[in-house]
Amino acid sequence: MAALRTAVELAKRLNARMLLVHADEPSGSLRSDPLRIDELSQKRYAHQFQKIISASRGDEVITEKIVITGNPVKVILDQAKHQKSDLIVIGTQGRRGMKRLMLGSVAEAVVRRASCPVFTVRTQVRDPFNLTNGTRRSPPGSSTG
Amino acid sequence: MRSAAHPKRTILVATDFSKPGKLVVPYAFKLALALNLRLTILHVVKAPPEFEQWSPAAHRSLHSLKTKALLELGRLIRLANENGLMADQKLLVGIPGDSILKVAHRSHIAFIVMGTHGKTGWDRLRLGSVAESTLRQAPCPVLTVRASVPPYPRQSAPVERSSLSGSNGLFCLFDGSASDRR
Repeated sequence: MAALRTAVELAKRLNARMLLVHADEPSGSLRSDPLRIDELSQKRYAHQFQKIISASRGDEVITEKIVITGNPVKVILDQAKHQKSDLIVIGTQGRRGMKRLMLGSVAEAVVRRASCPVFTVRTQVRDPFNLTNGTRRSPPGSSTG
Repeated sequence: MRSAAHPKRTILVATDFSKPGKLVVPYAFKLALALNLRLTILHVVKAPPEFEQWSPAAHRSLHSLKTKALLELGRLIRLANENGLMADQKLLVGIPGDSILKVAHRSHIAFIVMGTHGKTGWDRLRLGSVAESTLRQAPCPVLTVRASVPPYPRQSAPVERSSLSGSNGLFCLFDGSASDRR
């Protein structure tokens, strides 16, 4: 959620379009039935997406929502390449120690392999969306630097 | 450029002056312009703790490294000023990951920008990665740019602010599990 709010803030400031992606591995019996997965997950996430989008006040910058089943890292990298995205914003839980070894991290794999810059937002960071100094900077040239 | 009369939020640019280290600079400038942030350009001279006190020779060798780094830092600061940005420089001696984190813990740092070599497999195990350890422990968001990312067009940074909004989109990935924790 921190990632989303940060992304909204950035997108607004950079006049950028935003694409919301959720990727998940299918679980259990659904694994054998890809079509049904898609249908189910679309349904299941449509509502959730709406909720988080309205919570993040990002209605006007988020132009697309995508739910794909599959390996998150692969999905993310594929989409980033496909959409020629300029920036990936991704949340991470920043596990350490034993948990880190056991679980690995989607964010880390994305950082290592992405073909565009990656903005990583940890869930526990202090005020992650307080990114700006308020007002927009006056156009360069008039400012003295 | 130490006119920090009132604390303003700052982007911390950590660079080692290598190719990926320099690649982040245009991105940092662009973001600083768009978000109205100051820049702090940080370079860490890699040395064991307290190295300076070891011997006069150590002190001398460190001194030459520092001079070189200061020159490079000055160049970046000038570049930033030409782009209409306020920038500070910071030169530290120590272990890069730790030093970056120490600076990042100051409250006015909005986020960190740094380059990464993006090594995988064997190289990754051998070299480790400053970016990675920063990423895991930083108290603020981190923007990493990989060495293979095409460089951002430098001249256009101040003018084409809307270039990001063209065909290319800002790409948000939402990690479902992360939201559940909040």
